[in-house]
Amino acid sequence: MKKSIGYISSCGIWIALALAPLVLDEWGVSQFAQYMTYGIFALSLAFIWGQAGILCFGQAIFFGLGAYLMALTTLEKFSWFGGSQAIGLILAVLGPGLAAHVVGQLLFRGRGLSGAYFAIVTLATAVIVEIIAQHWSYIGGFNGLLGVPPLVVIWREGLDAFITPMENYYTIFFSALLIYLALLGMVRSPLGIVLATLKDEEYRTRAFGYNIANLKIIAFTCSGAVAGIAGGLFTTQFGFVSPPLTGFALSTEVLIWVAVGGRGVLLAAFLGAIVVRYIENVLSDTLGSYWLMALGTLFIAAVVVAPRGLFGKLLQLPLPRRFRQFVPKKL
Amino acid sequence: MPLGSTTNTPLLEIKELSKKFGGIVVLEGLSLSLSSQELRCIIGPNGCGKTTLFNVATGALPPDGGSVYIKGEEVTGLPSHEIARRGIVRKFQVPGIYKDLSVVENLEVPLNASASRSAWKILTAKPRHSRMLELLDICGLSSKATVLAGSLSHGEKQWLEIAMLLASDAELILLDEPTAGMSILETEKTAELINRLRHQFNKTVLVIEHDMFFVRLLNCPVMVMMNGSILRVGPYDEIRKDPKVIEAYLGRAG
Ligand SMILES: Nc1ncnc2c1ncn2[C@@H]1O[C@H](COP(=O)(O)OP(=O)(O)O)[C@@H](O)[C@H]1O
Ligand SMILES: [Mg+2]
Repeated sequence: MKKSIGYISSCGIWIALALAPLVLDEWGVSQFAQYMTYGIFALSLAFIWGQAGILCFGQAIFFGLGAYLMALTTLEKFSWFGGSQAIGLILAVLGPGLAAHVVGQLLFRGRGLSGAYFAIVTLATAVIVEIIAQHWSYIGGFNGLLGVPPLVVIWREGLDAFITPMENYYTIFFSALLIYLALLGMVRSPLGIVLATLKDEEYRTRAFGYNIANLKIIAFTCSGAVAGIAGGLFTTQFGFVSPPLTGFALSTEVLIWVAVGGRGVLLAAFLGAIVVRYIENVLSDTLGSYWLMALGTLFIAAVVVAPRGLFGKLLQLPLPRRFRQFVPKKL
Repeated sequence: MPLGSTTNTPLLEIKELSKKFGGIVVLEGLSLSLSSQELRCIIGPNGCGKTTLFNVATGALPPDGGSVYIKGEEVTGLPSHEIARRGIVRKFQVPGIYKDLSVVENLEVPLNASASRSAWKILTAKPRHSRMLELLDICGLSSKATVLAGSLSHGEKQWLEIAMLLASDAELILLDEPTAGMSILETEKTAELINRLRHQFNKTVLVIEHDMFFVRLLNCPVMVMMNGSILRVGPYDEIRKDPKVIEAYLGRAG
């Protein structure tokens, strides 16, 4: 059977990312590793927004929480973990996952908040979390926490132990690929199809016996965990965490990346983050404050004119394999 | 034969059900009972509360009074997914299909409804190819299996939704105006499909209908709904002749 365009382009993108260090200088390698980290963050949002129609305006809460947990652990603020990066990363998954679970329980249970109300409540929560982070001196207050060490390679000693930009690139690359494949597997499973029905027709799905609140909470929990690991990886590359990482501005930015890339297709959202961050880096010096305007315009265009985003159509995968046999034979 | 108790206990029993919207009384002391493997039809003028009856019976809306039993177990006030899990599914008046998903995906959701208690079970549910083929055949959509449901014709949407109800394995099927917007030919096919639900698949079926031509085709007991409760029950031909019914409903319909 002929492979679809979406399948070929998706593989192409991962191959291109795997080979990118061949043509990038050291600075470029570290930049693209950071873009991919934002890409993981974008995946977390595309998973709930694109698949289940849960529009979260406070996604940075989970990203920031992951970043803070990683920083607090490796800076030995949680002294009983001895600065272990492994434990830091585990906490950066579990903490935000748990936080998302709790938020989900509060917002989806009972009658449940939907649509615009959910968006507004999550937005307000992000604002509140950011303010709390600003005023909590244990986690560094306004300044945040500085000097977060890069990842170390456990079998090397001393200063050599710190990860090289190239090693870092592939660490992020394989993390992103793994997370992508896990989410993709979920999206294309029967559970993913059920989640997709929650966008517009949850009443129908409920009337078949599905517990909608539970399904949304599960999706939201996974999303929070993925955003958290992105935050944890972020802080090892940037070397700091600060309150804006948990707040409103970053929450909006990730929405823009996902909308511009294409929220309905995971890889499109991932690519959206990389492309927008890349263009921003290239153009923000020349455009200055006009950059935000340009980005805003792009966002409006993506939402109004091209709801599938820049890459949604190109990267659209064919129906899952289990349905292939039902494709009617062409005469 | 099923166990003795199930033959006597009605599959669905509704007692003294009432529902108001604001000051408007829509259901008032409505009672009905449906045995296993029955086919019945509810008729009544527009706005008399037929859809509301389904909404309350399936837990989509809470009743203001009265109770609903499924196989003798009271389900009044349970969340609608809990009621659905006890074996009752419905077709919505405006077709409840997933318009942005393909026909096969539409069918997969109810096919996995029995796994709905656990996300892990849904995630790992095995595809059931032969069942899927059968369902596609039943709704006549084998050649459109991968088409988006939103692009189907009016009739096809209704048939798809009926096949989805069948896919769910629920024993009791409620159909809200399954022939709305259909041609005569399509209406006849729908009557045939509903008779198959009853006779080939041993389902219990309760149909809300407006179209008298279709009601006659179904050839089943008819309940006439008026002023929020059941006015009369009987075969179609008797119902037609009942002066009270003619005055209340048929007379006006011409
Ligand atoms: N959710 C609701 N809120 C308020 N009024 C409603 C609602 N559902 C139905 N009604 C009203 O109840 C009455 C019966 O409606 P319905 O059950 O849809 O009638 P039918 O299906 O017999 O045509 C109508 O007057 C309708 O406007
Ligand atoms: Mg109605």
